[in-house]
Amino acid sequence: MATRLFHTVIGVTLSLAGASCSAGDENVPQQAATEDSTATDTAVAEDTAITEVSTEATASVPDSRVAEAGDAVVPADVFTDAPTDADAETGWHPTK
Amino acid sequence: MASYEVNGRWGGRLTSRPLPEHDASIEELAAADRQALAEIWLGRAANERRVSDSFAVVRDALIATRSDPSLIELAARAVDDELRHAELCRVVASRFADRELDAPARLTLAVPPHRTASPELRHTLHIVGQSCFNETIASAVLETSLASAEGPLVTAALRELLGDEIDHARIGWAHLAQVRPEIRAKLERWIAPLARGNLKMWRETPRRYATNGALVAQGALSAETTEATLRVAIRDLAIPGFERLGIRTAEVRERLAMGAPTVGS
Repeated sequence: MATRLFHTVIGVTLSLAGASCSAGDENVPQQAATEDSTATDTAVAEDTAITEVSTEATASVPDSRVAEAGDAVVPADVFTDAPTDADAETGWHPTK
Repeated sequence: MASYEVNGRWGGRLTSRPLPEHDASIEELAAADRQALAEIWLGRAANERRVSDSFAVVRDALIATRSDPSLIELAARAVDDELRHAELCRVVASRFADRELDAPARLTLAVPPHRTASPELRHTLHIVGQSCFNETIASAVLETSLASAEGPLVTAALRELLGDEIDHARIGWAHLAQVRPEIRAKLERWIAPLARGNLKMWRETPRRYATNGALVAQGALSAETTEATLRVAIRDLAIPGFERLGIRTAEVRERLAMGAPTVGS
């Protein structure tokens, strides 16, 4: 099951994106994952076709319920790009 | 609750196909199980609504990093998709409750701060954390739920959710394939913390789990199955995905071998 899902979510996507399998290769075409409507393995879910993107899609802007925790007022000299324990303490809220 | 867009994925419809109008399996449930399932699906509605806010952040991050326009459009659509998901889950919860339930209280979104990351890297961390980790995990959770689901209504609902979540996960993987090599190299050190952070949130977010087979047949997962699915998602989906991109994941694999602890240092 996981193998099938890997193929659907990641394998097909990276193939369509022309992803290099090695870091440092800049030969990555500007190609998105959404261009192959037949890419999704229908065995994963009957209705998981990757359909066209609605260019009319509009997005709601996060309002005051969005907490910008710590994203502001960080001095530039602390951008070490090194993760800390604190960074491991927070992730995204689960979908389910 | 914010309404989804009439020009969204299904042209203003909640689902790609109509949901079953009658589901005898719901009528056969014990009252306590119906109540539990109403709570479970309403809890999902609340989480889905919050993830709509998450995707607004992802959309903006994709814009800031000048990602492929089609990915930006897909992320914008995801904002709306998640609103539909919230409503879909509320509708399913109402069928179990046998009455129209109000939308749950809106949950506050806390965006991972990643304080030590540069602004450019932080955008990519947000995209990777939400799409490559969170939505990939969600796809695995939904697939596991679907594998055990028997009720026609929940089977239809889970398929609708999974179809979108796969798209949402692909946003991150496609973006990651395009990022500059320097960013991809810096990202490597963050993979283990990102995995830990997302696993921690999945484990600690309050939710009601299935405690009997009747609940599992209606799309709920037990705590044990959920935990197993989380680990499978990291081991069989996320790790191979990053490695396919040349991003080493030894630390994640080591942590996973120790049970992927998310408590303590």
